[in-house]
Amino acid sequence: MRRPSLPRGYGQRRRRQLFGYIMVLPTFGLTFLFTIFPLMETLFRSFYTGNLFSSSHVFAGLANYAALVQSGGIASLGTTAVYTLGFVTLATVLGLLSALLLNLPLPGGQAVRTLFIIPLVVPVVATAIVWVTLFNPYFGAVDALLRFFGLPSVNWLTDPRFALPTVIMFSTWQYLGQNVILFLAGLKAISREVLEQASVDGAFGAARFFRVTLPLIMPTVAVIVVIATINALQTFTQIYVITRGGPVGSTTTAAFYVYQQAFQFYNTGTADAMASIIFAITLVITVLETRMLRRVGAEGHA
Amino acid sequence: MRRHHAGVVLTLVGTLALTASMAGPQVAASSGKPVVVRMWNGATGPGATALTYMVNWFNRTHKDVFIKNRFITQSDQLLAKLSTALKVNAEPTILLGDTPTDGPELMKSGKLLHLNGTIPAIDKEVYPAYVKAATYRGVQFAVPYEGGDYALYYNKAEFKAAGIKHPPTTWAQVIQDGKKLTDPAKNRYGIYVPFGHTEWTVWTWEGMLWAEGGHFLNKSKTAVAFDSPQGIAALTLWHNLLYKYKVAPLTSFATPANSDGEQAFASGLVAMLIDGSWDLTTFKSAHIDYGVTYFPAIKEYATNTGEGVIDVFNTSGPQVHGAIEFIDWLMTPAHLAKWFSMIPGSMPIEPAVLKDPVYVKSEAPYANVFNAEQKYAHARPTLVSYPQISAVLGKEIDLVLHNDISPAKALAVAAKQANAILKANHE
Repeated sequence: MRRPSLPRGYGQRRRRQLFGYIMVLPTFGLTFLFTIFPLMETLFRSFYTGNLFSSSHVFAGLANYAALVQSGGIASLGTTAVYTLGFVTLATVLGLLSALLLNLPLPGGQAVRTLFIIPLVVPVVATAIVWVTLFNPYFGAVDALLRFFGLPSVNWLTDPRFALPTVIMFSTWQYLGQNVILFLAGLKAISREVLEQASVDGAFGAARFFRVTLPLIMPTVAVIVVIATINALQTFTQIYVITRGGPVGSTTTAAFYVYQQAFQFYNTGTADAMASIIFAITLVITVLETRMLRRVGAEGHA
Repeated sequence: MRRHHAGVVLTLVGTLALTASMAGPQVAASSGKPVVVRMWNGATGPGATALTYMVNWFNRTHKDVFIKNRFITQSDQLLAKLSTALKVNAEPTILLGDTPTDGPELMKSGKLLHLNGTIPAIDKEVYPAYVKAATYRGVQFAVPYEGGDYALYYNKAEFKAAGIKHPPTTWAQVIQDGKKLTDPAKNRYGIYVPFGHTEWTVWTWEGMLWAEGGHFLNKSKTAVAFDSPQGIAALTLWHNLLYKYKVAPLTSFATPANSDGEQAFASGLVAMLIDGSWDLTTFKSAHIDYGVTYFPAIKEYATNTGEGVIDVFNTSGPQVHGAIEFIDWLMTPAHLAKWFSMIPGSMPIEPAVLKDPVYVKSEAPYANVFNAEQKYAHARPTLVSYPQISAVLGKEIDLVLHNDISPAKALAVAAKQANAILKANHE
């Protein structure tokens, strides 16, 4: 019986594939070591009891997840949801509006664009401290402005009603520049001919924006929504610097809850359980948004 | 090819250098060179300068031990860095911090040295509250080296303008004086009530609890007792200052870095403030004409302790011996006096240091009210559960201060959660 002959070039293709795998191996190895393995370890440890230093863990079943429910974990997920919704909406809408204004051929436009970049290049810790000073009751610039207009003082960061909205405002301000740049790139990519043709067809102002511009930049909108959502779900630094999760837990996001449980209360199992939940939520949302992104991208190109 | 060889040689040299540096203390000990002892600290400002001075002094005068001193992060954030270091056996031998409440958890690492009777220089006259705070289940896990408590600051000019001759000694007097000092139309209030959910709020409220004659834990230390009638009365007093007598602003001046409300006092918004000796220089710089008096009594005088502590980790025999030698040197009254004389407002916890001419001649002793008050000091319970109990209690106190819940209900909720935490931690 004759051995079936391999197609021509098969060996060369296989060698090329092997070379490709070898080239990818270091990246995969590092990703496994520093991302996948810690994730698996976190998930594994979420089913075990232990402390910050112990290496002899005892199987605890779902006890850590039950402890999470009893110790404010669900509330912190709710806070994260409100924060994410507020931040993503504001950062996307304001980013788009700012980009539309900056896209107009106005004198000094370039200089104004630079202003949007500044918060982006300054570390969050530094800008957060500036915000704490600005929003200080009685002595902050914002309060001085309120008094100037005859309005009462507001405890922006220490009143449970205002603390979370203030942190959302801060994050929006911090990351607005990034969205403006992305939207501007999307707007600049729209062919002038397309816009001129729309004008010839009688589409001006809002009609042209909603029927022509917005559909064409939908892939950019989708990218921004995905990035902003992932960013929001992992929010920690601004909470740590501005409010430390207070007042009365009103700004304790899920990521801050993880820190609090692990490093303030030494409940590493509960912290691992919440970290696993954050990962699962982020994964589901990212998959859904990426699918949406693909669909929107396909429609945008059609 | 030559380049390849050069790379191999460089790698070998690098590896040898790294190995040599890692094996430093052991090699050094056998070759007559000093044992290198790593120390982490969280000291800032004058405290950092003074510590560097003391370490340099020790290193100059001791040939067998060399203290390698490093600022790592602010004291209250050392635990996160330390836990990582302990996991990978990269912990320092000495840790100089100010959160003895981390001690019981650090003991679980198995690397924290038990210090009962190991430091000969520790004076037997150290105020008992400090030693108690550094001891867990009979094991002294840290050396207390510096004290800290709070008292009542008052604005002398405001008191004079209101016709008040003496600072208050009781909370009943605080209310009476507060009424005279308050004028909301002019943004002037009697006292600042420490809003916030952090340890600062709980720490200061514990003083109220003890002043009322209450206790944090029950006699057998198996459950919390802060929800007692004394606890409810102590919390109601703060609530009344805000909503019944209206002698305190309904505003929090707590910031993530600072919860004591010093801005409110420094700006003249409030005429009285609960605060520690560390702000003596702050108010001096702000040119406030102030005085300090004991934390007012309800039924008795009381205050709380917050202390600087030194932990020793069992890294290696020679390093631990070196660490003990350094701490013993540092804790002698003469050295403590020199150290604290360089830190304005610092509070030695040994009476011998308070009398030392070097300390007396320096600017530091103007913390004398804080120093004298230490005899009334209580200590927070040293428990693994304490940080978590403090968090639930702080949240409930803050709800009361925001007028969202009654003091009795808030303390009942906090007590229920606290007892569950104690049970979960087997304490």
